[in-house]
Amino acid sequence: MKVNEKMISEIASIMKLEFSKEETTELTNELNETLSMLNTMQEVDTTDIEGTFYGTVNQQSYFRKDEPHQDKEEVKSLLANAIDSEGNQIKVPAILEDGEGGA
Amino acid sequence: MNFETVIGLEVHVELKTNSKMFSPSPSGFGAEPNVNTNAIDWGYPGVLPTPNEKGIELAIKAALALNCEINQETKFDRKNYVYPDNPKAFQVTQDKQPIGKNGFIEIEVDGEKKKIRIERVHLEEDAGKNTHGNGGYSYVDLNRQGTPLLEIVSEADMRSPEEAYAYLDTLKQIIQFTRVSDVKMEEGSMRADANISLRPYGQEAFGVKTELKNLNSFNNVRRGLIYEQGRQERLLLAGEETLQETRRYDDTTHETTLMRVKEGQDDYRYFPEPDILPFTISDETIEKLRAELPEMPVERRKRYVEELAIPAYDAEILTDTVEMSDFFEQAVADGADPKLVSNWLMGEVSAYLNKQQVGIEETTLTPKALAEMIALIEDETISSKIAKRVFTELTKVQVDDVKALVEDKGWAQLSNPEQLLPIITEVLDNNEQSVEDFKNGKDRAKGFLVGQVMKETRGQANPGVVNKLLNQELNKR
Amino acid sequence: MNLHTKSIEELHELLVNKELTVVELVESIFDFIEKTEPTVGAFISTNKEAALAEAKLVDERGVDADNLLDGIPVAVKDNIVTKEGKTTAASKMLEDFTSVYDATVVEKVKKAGMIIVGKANLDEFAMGGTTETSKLQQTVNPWNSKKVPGGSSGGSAAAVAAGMVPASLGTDTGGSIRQPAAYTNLVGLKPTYGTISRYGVIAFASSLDQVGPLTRTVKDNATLLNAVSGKDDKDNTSADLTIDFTEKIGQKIQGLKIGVPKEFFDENLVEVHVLQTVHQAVEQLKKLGAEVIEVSLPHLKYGVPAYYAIATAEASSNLQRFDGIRYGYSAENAKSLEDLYVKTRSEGFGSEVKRRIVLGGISLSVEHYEELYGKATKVRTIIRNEFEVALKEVDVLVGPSTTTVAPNIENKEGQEPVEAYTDDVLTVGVNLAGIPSLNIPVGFHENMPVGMQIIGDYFEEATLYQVGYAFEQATDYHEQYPTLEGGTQE
Repeated sequence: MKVNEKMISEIASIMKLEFSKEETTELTNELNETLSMLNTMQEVDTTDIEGTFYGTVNQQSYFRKDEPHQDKEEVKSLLANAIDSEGNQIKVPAILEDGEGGA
Repeated sequence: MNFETVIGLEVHVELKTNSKMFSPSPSGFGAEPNVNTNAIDWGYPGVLPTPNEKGIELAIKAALALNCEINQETKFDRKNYVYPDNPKAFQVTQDKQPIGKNGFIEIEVDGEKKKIRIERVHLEEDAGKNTHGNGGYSYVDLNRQGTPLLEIVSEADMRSPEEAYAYLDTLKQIIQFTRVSDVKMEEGSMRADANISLRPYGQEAFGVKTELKNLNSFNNVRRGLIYEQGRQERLLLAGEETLQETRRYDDTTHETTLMRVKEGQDDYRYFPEPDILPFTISDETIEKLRAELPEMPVERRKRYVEELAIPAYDAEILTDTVEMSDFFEQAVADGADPKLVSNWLMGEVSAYLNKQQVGIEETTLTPKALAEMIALIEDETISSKIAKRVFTELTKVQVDDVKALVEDKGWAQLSNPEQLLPIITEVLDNNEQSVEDFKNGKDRAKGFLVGQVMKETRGQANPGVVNKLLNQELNKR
Repeated sequence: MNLHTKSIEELHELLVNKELTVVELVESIFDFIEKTEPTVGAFISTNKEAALAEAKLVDERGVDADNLLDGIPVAVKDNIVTKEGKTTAASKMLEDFTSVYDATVVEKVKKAGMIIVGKANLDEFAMGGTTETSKLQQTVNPWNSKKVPGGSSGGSAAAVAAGMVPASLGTDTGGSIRQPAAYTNLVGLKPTYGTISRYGVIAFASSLDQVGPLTRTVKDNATLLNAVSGKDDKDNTSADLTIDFTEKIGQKIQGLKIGVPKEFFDENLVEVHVLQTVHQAVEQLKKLGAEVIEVSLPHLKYGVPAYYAIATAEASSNLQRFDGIRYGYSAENAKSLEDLYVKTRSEGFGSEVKRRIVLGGISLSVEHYEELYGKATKVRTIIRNEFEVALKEVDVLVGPSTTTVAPNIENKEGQEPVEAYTDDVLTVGVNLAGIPSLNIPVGFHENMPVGMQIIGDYFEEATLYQVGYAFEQATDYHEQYPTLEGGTQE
């Protein structure tokens, strides 16, 4: 596969990044080189091979007991690190409705 | 109408756990903003999720109650999207291996029963809440972030807004009976999005669907779908195309407005969540949870009507919530007559609950106390008038021994002729004129005399016994 | 007394015998840091006051004679969060960020009585192999200030190599501990995935990241691993096991089967002097009684593309949270929320990080998932299986840790990303498989250190230490120290 500048601009916008015209050109060239290296994977026959998605083998998730824990001091520190806060809420530039109301 | 309506629903219900799905923060509705959050909920650098056992169990239970197969080999995935209420910029959810699949529920519309298939039931985390302020700012509260959320996706099996309403109603009851969620739409613990499309009758392929958002009550689901059905029909009849749109239901105009037109599928760049290992749900776990499932409302109603001789309408009301239904059954088990329990629950008790805006489980009234009170009415220890006073007491404080309460308060009915006779004699002696009137055929005079006896006994005399004794004494004079 | 070349074990002796107090040790260390740090640039931040306060506490309660780590100074890579001071990941994005919690490994080193002297430099968000992508400072190789220290744990390696601390913690996603350890003559371990909690480690690639120790000696390394490993309820992927990783140290390697994968000894891949040095090391192991067997890992070369497809995919997801809202850098004068997101991220991330985020976004996209991320996970399975098969035949595998000795600073900046990426072929396979690998010093070429990795089966770190220790006892490479301007030499 190969990418062009238009594709790079599109993916950059999804990833909330912005590149100048020159940066886009350079990035496109670099990524095409990288992608041609990644493309060598296609030489490998992976028929009937399952993917490995985790760092461990033969290990399963374990679960936490449903015991709540609250730390109001931590909440204060968290709010202090935020860009801005008001009335215990995080204050952000206005959110425009775009239909992605969470889950 | 020239078109067949096709509706599918995506319902989200918040699971009732004490802590969040992937962090130990308290899970709960209505707290001060952000107090139920920690670094994990904020998506801090370096944090990792820890899955809540209870959340998994509740999800399995719900899936079983919805007649799903359980995916015994399951895992979590990341759904990537950027939004201020989604602090990690991904939502932990289940993509390829939902916890439940291929389920169904049975609905009834106008006496017709119909199976609605459930495609999948999966577990995920809820997002925080954004509120829109003034002056170009919005506000983010992450209290809800991470609350376990179950997404229930139906097949596009519904053919009218009424069926969609019935589906939601039935689904809500099943989930509520399973006790995995409060399923309160007004509190957001149940939310519904609808997909609706129209197609000419006889056509197999689905039409272009619209997704409806902001349907914040059952009635709005129905109204929104009715509006949308009409809108799409007008477009199609005018020879226009319907577009793949997300539309918002407006509660004030009862119309839907365009939010955005979808171009192809959204790309959430799903991939397995590497921070949570996959897991196997054992047969034992499934069987254990299945055994914990309560009898569902449909079965309960049937049993109430057939075995307890409760009218169908009453049975419907009694199975509105699992708490009411369980209360009813416990009171019956405690020895009270089913019909009398039902009358009380549907009458006095419901009136009280409505007035107080609480559920029966939030009151001090217990099934045992109600059963005892009913027994006292039946054996004429108390009159139904006094019973109302007893009931008021039972809603003030939990009473373990109703009989003792009645005795303490001196509310027991006077039924003993030996105690009543002297009072009656005295009343007759003091009201010779009335006795005279009665003898002269004035029936009203007897009523007055009964009233006097009741007054003397501060209302505690058993009216039946008083009547009987009074007749007997009057005859003697 | 020269404290700056001493091992943990040696320092412990001095402390227990009261020839030295912890406060004296820490003071001496900070004096030394003041002299050498201007040249080396290993630390993004140090905290003398807090370290001295801790040292005083240890002196007051007395050094625990049974705990080798009590009162021992340590450096922590700055992508591991600490409540004290800043945690930057060497990025403008987190330049002024203070975490609200300590990483589990930080809690563990503190619990062991160790004294954190500072936070070590790294490639920005651990993405790089030279520590040159750090947005905050340049770290040099203590062996030659014109050379890179390696990366991404370059600061952690340089701090130990220069003699500023006897031990440090790094992280290894695709070689980020072993390669800098090799470049600076240190013992560095990438443990089995799951051995050390990742809670509090700023995630680069979640299924590949592991924390590990860098030390001067094998025994020190195993001792530190004992202290920081173990199941953590906060990390779902941490393994539940109790192993004493020092238990095989001192055991003979007579009869041990050592596999030599021919793909590691490829002259087209590895610089000839490095290869010769490692061959000599293999000969040394033979002399010690090990049986050397040639093995093959035919798909090893596909490890690099698989690694980059997976690591960038996970990174693109992990790094999307840095948006200027809850913590870290926020762009000034943003006109809207979208503008805040885009400006913050475009200004806050360096070019290598952005390059990887974009690549990861492509790797996971619906259009390319099957040929990139999806394909890579299958290639990963094949590579993992090949390692498993080889490690059934032999006890450990050995091979060079790097293709060359440390290159010149700025060499790699000018290098095309692809060239820099393919250099990782010797290290990334181990991360893909999740198995452990230990770098040990095995010699020099033109006064620059050469390292060899010893690779083992899951949770077989003790065997790696056994082999490493046997080699260390038979050689004196680990006793060579760099000459530093303003520094010391034995």
